[in-house]
Amino acid sequence: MLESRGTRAVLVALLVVAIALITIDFRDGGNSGAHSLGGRMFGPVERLAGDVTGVFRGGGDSGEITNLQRQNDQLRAELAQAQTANTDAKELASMLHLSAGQYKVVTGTVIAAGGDYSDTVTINVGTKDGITPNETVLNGAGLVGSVVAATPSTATVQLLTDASTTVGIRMAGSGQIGSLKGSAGTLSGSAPLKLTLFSANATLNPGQELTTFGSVGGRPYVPGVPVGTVSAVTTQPGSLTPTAVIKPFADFTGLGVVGVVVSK
Amino acid sequence: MTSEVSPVRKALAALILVIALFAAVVVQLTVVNRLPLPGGAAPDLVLLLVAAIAVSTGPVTGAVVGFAGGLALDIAPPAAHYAGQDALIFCLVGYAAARVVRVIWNMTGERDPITTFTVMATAAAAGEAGKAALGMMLSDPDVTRAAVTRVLPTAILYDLLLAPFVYWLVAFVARGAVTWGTSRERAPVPGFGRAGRLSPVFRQASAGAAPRLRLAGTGDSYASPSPVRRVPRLRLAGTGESYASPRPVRRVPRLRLAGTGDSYASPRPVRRVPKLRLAGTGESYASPSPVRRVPKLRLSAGHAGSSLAASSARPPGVPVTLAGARTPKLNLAANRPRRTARSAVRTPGKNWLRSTPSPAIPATKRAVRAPSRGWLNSAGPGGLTGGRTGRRTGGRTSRRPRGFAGGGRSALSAAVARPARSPEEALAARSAPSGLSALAGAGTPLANRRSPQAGWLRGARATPTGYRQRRTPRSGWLGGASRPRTVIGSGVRGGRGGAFRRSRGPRGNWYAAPPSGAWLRRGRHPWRRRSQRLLRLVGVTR
Repeated sequence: MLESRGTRAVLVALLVVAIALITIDFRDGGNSGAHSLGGRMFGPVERLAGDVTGVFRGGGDSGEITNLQRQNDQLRAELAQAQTANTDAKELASMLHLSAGQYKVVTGTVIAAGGDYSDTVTINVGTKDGITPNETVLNGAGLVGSVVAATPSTATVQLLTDASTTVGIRMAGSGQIGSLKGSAGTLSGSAPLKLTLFSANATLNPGQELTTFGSVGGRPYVPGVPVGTVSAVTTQPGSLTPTAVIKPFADFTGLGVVGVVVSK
Repeated sequence: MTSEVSPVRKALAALILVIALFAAVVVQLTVVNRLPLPGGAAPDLVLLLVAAIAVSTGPVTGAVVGFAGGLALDIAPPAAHYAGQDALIFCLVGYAAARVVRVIWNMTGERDPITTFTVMATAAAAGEAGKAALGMMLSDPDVTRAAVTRVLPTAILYDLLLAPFVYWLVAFVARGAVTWGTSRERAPVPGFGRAGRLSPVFRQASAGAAPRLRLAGTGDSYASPSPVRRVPRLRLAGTGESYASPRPVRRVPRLRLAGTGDSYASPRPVRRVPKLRLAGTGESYASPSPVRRVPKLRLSAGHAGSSLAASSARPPGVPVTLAGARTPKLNLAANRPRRTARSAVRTPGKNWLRSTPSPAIPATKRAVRAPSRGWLNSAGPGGLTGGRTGRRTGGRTSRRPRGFAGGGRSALSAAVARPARSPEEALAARSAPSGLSALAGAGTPLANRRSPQAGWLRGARATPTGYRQRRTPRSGWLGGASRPRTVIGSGVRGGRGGAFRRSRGPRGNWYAAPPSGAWLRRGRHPWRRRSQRLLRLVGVTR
């Protein structure tokens, strides 16, 4: 038992440090300096590992696929902007102070993913590429999520399926607005998104499409990005607002190249 | 961890483990978490690695490694939870796993890889549950009850599937660096209760005759020079190092009875008996000067066979007050103040050997009585009174004169049956001072009871020719190759003769006999408690 005293001292010290870290991070809302430090430390390594694993994943023609996906992302962003512009560009721009310029998309590759409970991924672009937090992330299929943290070489993307994500949406046909919440799903994508419309009179039908409503200044979500389709209407008989389960366009299990909409 | 392992090897293993931990963090984030595994969960490589390292090394290493790995997972980029969550959980997991596995090792005395692996897998599962619990406590929006019920079983399942590989890997690496790694898990381990297997252990334990109760096992073979780290608490004999090695005992306990600090082979045992020098002061058995032949612990029946020599050696004029060798007061230390009733009631602590048997017990009774089986673990400090003292004392000295142990064999008949002792002894007895030789009891009908020889407690190697083999362990017995076949004390317990009975005279190292299994298991011998109390008082131990 002679060594036990020292052992316990070490244990207690470590536990105190851990609890202090939790407390500080809790106070800072999960954005304490520890995360940025970890990003600086592990970001380059993860980029390297992501490159290595990307070679194994992509096979020989990964470059061409990446190029095509990048173009696709770019076109998707432009299309979203064009549609927005076509319908009510001026009104929206005046209302939301939308910048008149074109979206610029920085593409990156997913190099790491979070643990069992969090739906976050790391992409291999960071502040050196112009990425800042609260920017929209999309891919060729639709909305992916938003940037929550950025380090010089990497950025952390919170996916649409994360339980702490809430996205304002607009129904494609009717123009009804509502909010979409993740439901603590994982990368396997089995967990559905939950849609709640704000208007009690709105009707929901399976197959309807959703686009992003847009946030102020385009952060964290630019308007017009397709999100998903209504797969099932779950409105309870007595409820005030219609609810539905949304199947997202993007395939979160196989995220590869994503684009970050960088406002000019 | 010991001198056996070279520091280079240790550093290499530590480096490998650190790199493995770092690699596990990166692989976990970049590969494992992205695998579209069914069930929506992924194994936690870092947690598995932490648990494996913990059970392979120790609590401190486990806690530190757990903290480091958890912190890395906390702050590496995709992490969305609060920094410190995984560090907290993994630190606890590492510490607890190492602690539990050590407790199990100490209890079973065996280092079983299956047990170790089970502890590791359990720790990993507990870590997964702990992560979920802490997330819920911190009201992480991602960690809801539904998510936990969906993710947690799958995650634990994946962890268990991966655990053998991680364990094998870590054990493979740690084997080179940690002496008591998995490679020697099957080393001979003493089984309690089986005297045959136990005896070498207790002989070695008795080498220090220390109440530290180093009982058991050494994870390694006895012959190997690696230290025994296995039983950190129960030390009987303070043999820190190998038995065969001639290094001195490091933990010289206070109650060094007749401790042989050095190896048996060393012929200078005098300074080894610091306080409780029981028997005579003779340098060796062979030396003709065992003046103080009569030890303090003179049990009732002297051993037979010495009547002629003893009686002839008795100087005239010495009052024979002792019928038989049963001295009413066993304070035979020549110039020492007599112990009074206090020592009689005392537990067999430091001075138990000087205690007096109760006069209430007649000689014949004591002579025929064999010690009860559980005599060693029987009484606490308070419960030891006269009659028991006699019994206990007699029982403890399993190498005492034979008439005592023989179960009813009278001393006289033993005297008849036995020839006189060797000439050296006769000479020695003759030269004894009067007071002492009076206590030898010569000249009375029961005078054939002879005290143990000088220095018999010390277990020195040099013995008179006739007694050499029995009194002390043979040279080299510690090596395990040629252990004495006789389990000392078996004749006492069983009441049968056998090899024990064939020997002549006092049998020297009674404390070399294996104590009973219950005594060992409970480890509550008064010696142990006393010494611990003392050490605690001094502040050596906790």
